[in-house]
Amino acid sequence: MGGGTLAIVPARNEAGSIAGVVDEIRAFDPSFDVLVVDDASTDETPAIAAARGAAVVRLPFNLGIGGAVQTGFQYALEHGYETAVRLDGDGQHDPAELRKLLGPLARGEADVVTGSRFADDTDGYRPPLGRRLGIVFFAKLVSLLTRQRVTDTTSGFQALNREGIALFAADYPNDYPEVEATVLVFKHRLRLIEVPVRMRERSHGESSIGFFSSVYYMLKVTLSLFLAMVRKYTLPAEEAASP
Amino acid sequence: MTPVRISIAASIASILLILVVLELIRGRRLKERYALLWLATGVVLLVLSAWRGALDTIAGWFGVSGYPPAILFAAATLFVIVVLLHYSTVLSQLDDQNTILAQRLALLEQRLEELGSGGRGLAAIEPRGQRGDEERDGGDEEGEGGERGHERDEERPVGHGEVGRRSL
Repeated sequence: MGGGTLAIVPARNEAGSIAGVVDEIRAFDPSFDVLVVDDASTDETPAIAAARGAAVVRLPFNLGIGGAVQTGFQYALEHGYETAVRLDGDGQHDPAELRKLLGPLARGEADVVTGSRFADDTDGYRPPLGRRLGIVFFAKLVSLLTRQRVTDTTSGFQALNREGIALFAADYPNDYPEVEATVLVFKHRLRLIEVPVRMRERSHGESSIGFFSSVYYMLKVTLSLFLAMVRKYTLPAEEAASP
Repeated sequence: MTPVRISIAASIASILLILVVLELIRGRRLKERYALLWLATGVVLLVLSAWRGALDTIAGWFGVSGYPPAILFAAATLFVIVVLLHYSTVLSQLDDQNTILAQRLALLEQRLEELGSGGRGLAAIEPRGQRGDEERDGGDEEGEGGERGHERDEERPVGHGEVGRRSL
């Protein structure tokens, strides 16, 4: 190894939970560096994160979750980290579960490991029906497209090795990025596996997706999924350094 | 046949369009690369308006028998669609570039803050200046050494050579 591990935490207005997230990551493994990518918060999120000892990258304006997460991967790549883990700033990802994500990575079984709420029936998490339908729909669709069983395409709880970091630093989707990112990993022939994890209920705030926006979301993501299958791709970042 | 008045009015409109575009370029309010499509639009519309025989012939090709000026509308609409599509691609590109700029800026700012945090980064630089080290090579090397010794950098794996790997 030698490169260390970076925990990437994208956060927008998470002043209520960010301190806990940073502390928990540190508690899980004090050797992890924590990077909070502040997506132009209007509250105290970046200051709190910095006070807890996290490195903080502050985006000048709101880029959305995709742009923020990608910034984290760019940081990891530039600073030479061997491994990156990604956790949400709202505290729904329990750092104690990271061990399950890092195992397959350490054994060289995968380039990207995703924590799935549905990979087996641990039933710690029961989303509302509408949301559940959306999740199942995308899981089936992505499984079909990538010819690999995927159960949780909206999970942002991930661990990546250097190949995964390089890919996402160079190319990462925008608005609801996790679904499309799964296809991206497949198209670049990296190995993705899922491990079952438990997630917590959001500790703060509502789910960011309402009814009409979820219909719009389904249509838009479905479209971008099919586009992702036929889009032209630049080579993985390793080779794309000098186009 | 196309009514003469329509030909005259359409020709004047086309000439006006071309003149306005040229004036915008002259005043540097429109870049040439975005003006080209508009100029092409103006020229094609002018030709179709002024050359009445051509308009009638083209109308014939498309089976427009009653009212040849309809071809003028069709041509104008087509060009507007092309211009709009072109703008959408330009917009998408700007959007991407904007994102990349924001990310680069944020990462650079973070690095600057890290270097300057607690004055340690500055402390590493200042003594060199005060010593007035004139040997450029030696001075530069010392500067880098100082940076390495920086507290936060030491925690980081040595990957600094990879800055800028990701090019556009």
